[in-house]
Amino acid sequence: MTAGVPGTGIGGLFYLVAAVLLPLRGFIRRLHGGRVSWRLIARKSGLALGVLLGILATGWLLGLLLGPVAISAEGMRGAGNAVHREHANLVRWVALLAGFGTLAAVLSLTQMARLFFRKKKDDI
Amino acid sequence: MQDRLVPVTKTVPVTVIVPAFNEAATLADTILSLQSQSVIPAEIIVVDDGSTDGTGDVARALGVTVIRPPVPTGSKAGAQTFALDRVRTEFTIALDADTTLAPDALERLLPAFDEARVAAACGSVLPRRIKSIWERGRYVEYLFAFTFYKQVQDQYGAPLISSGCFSMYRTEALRSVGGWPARTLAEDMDLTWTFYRRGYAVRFLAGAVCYPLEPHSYGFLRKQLKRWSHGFVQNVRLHWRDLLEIPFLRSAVAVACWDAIVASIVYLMLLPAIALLLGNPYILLGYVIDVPAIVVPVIAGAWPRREVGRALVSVPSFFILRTVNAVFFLEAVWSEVVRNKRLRTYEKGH
Repeated sequence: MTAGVPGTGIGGLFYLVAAVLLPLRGFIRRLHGGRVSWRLIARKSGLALGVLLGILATGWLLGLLLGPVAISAEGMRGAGNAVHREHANLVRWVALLAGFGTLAAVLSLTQMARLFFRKKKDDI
Repeated sequence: MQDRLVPVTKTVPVTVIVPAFNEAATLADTILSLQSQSVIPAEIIVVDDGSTDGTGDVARALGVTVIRPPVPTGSKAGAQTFALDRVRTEFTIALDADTTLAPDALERLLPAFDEARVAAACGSVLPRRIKSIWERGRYVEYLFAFTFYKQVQDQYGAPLISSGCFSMYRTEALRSVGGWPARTLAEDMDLTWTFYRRGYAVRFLAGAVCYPLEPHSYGFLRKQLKRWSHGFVQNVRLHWRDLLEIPFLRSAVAVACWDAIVASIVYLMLLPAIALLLGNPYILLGYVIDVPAIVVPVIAGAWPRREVGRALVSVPSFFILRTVNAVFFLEAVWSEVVRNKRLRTYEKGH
């Protein structure tokens, strides 16, 4: 089973980041004398890069499809194309930062909860 | 005269437990797939948990051991644990009565136990029948999860769950935790997390493939999703303190909880609300904006099986299944956490 809504939300980002970091993890494991399957790591990291490329392609495609519609709507209201482009860029960056920001916040909160409850356990 | 080559099949120290309640229609396929493995299990035990459809007779006709609890246990976990006392081998397999195995599944799973601290291992899951919208949705979900998420989890040493439909266990470790716990509706997740808490390791080996029957109708799907979603919430409530001490798993579960609640709300309520409020239907593209994030791993999983076309045709069903998933998870959180109303009835639904 997959908990939640697979693919959506920060879960997708989490596994993407985890897969991209696999070579680094493998390298650290190797330094500590652990066994590492570089073939598997390369496959999973390659898959993550494929997903990333796919996401970029979707953004580009959506821009192509929706850009003219949005620009003509803005144009009718008297706003310039340059202003629209600026807004579109801003929205893109905010969406990206919101995703990674939420992921970072959830992971940080989990770490804090861990430290808090460990301390409580030690106090008892 | 030339000697004829007779394939020698090795018997391995594995006992397979198949819990069954009214599974006469599917059990024979399951047993036959076990009997035609590239390595043969020492014993196959079918636990006939109060069936009335001749399940036991089907199993006996195929020459496997059949046991029947004096009183039906009423749950998969109960039936499996009932059989555990009879196991005399180093390893035990739990296999659902509606699940068949790839011919080399057992052989591919065994090497996971070369490492002494491994208590459980599981493989990939793919629906055996892919016809209805729900089966197609599940097919894509599994291709995605077992090609991407689960393999990343294994690389970090923490598969979220050793799937209940087909998993192998070190019998000694299984006994040390009292068998399959029946305190939640997801006994496989409970067992996996209990193993982690005890310092054991769990592995996922993608090459060991099993084929369960997935829900073909909404009625069966409803029962399954209810069990899974409530089981997940029950396990998080039960194990959350221990999970905090397990690297990667704590993050994976925290992210899953966030997505189960917040992403579900965004998906089901916020997106349509914003689209309505702004009068902009393009906002609804949010429902399919992650198509490439889904499709890339799905193609990667389907490619070696030569099923790319079938997978791509099934992708729309996945988006429908995903929406239904979101509803069930929200309901489970509402019921188990907000109303503190615990679901206890184990409703079978494939």
